[in-house]
Amino acid sequence: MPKAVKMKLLSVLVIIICMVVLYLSLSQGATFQWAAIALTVVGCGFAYMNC
Amino acid sequence: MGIDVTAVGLPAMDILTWVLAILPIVVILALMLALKVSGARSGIIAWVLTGVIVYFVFQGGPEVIAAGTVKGFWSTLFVLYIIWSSMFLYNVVNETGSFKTIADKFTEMTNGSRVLQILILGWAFPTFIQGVCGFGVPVAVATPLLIGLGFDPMVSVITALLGHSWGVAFGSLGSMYNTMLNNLPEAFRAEHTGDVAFWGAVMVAFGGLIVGFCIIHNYGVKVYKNVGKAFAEGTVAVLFLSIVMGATIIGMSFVAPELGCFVSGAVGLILGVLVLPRLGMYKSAEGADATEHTSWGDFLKAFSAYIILLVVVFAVYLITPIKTFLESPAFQIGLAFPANSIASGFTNAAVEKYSAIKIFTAPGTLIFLTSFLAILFYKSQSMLKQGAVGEAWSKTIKQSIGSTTTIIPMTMMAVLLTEAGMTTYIAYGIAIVAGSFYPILAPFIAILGGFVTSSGTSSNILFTALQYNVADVLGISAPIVLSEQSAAAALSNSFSPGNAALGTGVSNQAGREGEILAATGVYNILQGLLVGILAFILISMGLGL
Repeated sequence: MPKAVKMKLLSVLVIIICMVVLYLSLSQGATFQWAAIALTVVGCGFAYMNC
Repeated sequence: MGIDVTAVGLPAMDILTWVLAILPIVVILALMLALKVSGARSGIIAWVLTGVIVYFVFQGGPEVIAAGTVKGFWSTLFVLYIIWSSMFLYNVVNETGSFKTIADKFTEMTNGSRVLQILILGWAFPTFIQGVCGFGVPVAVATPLLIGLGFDPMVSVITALLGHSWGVAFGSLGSMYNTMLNNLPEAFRAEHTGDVAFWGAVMVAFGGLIVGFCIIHNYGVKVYKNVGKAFAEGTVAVLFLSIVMGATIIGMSFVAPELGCFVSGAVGLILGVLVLPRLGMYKSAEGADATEHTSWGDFLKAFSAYIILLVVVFAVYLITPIKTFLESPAFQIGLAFPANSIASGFTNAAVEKYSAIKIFTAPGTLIFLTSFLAILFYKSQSMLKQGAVGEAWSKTIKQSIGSTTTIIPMTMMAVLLTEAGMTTYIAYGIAIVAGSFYPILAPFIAILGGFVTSSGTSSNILFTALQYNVADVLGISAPIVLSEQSAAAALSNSFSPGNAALGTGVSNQAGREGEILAATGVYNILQGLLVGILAFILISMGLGL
């Protein structure tokens, strides 16, 4: 499989992990929610570099 | 004039807030259309920008940003399921070499006329599928079929997007139409359901006529490089198909509006194949004699995957006891979300199963089931080589991953816009400034809803009440204004980032979403304007009251 495809698959995996954390944060306080949002921004940054 | 945005819990209307609310949409369009940035990168930038505006301007807390983002991600799973499954089905059929057989037979049936092929397979056929299934399936099925027949991938995507869009208003067995009815006041519904169906059908039929000419125009621009030649060849066929399909959908509005799209698609498909090739101007098209004769047996074998798909879809969607059982709550997966609200009071209620995926009747499931049955059939006919299924799966991953990375951030951005009330705020702004010209601008509110949600049904959920209330305040015909909402929300299915990404996904053109939106955007603005002008004229004549 080409490296570009592998990196895109990895990006999707990273975003999925971020979404799980973000969803779990909804039942927590604002601090945890901000941390999850920050993690998602970083995850999207990773996807940005690979798309 | 009585339209008060604070009544729904949004900030008081002012121009700066309105501009900031629409900024993410402007940015995403500018990045994709003007700067040629990929859909994935544009979506990520727009999502971050939306989050900033939600927090600083609309004063939504982290719970609003987090919920909107996760809801957006969850919504993409449904679309991605369709893309991956339909790409796999296409690759399985492609591995058998069946597309050449299908192309040869269809060339025979249409006397080699490429214009007839693109109108029948790119307009009537997706309308027929939309009548029952919808949810992106018409685009996912018709696009690879057109490509398999030798049409340019971009022409195929744009045609399928345009071709299926008009029927969405009465498609999916009336899901969008019923959503509109459910969002209207009980008293109005009791008295005017027939008017809503009739005027909706009239406006949708008019939209269908415009769609036909848009398809011909696109074909002329991209293939002939000569619009006049395309119109000379295609005008009769467009008029014929739009009259028979439009008359059918209007007729069905008196009997069973929910079946309007399905029946009109079937009528268009059957009469298109039986009548149009017999007309003088389509009898001796170029290439008619160059094709070898293909037997019906070979054609049916080659086409069997799509016949299986129709059988599976019809069995599940039309046999009510099966559908009811398969869609029981136990077979629905959805995420629970707590309620949230922005500082001014706009609230999203708590939900137990947000956008539940009906696992056994989801289009992706039906297409994967079809692929499995098609593989068994093709193997029984020795049409699949050893290792062909693995090869089809490998190609599917390579072709679908690009659109996957595009759709995820775009939908995250779009749902976040809606979660914070920004989409509603934009629509109210349009309504307030329009005044007596509201009928001309009403379609663009519907298009806005369709653009940000990639769904005509969602546009109706968002804006049916607004359209009704504005018509009521202005004292103009609510059924006609609602018909504009129906038609324009349906037509907007050709112009939404999500559907464009679906189109590029199933045509292996990931990264070219901007080109698609540039084309369908112009058509959609024209469609909205023409629908608005027709409604303005009808209302000025005092009709629909």
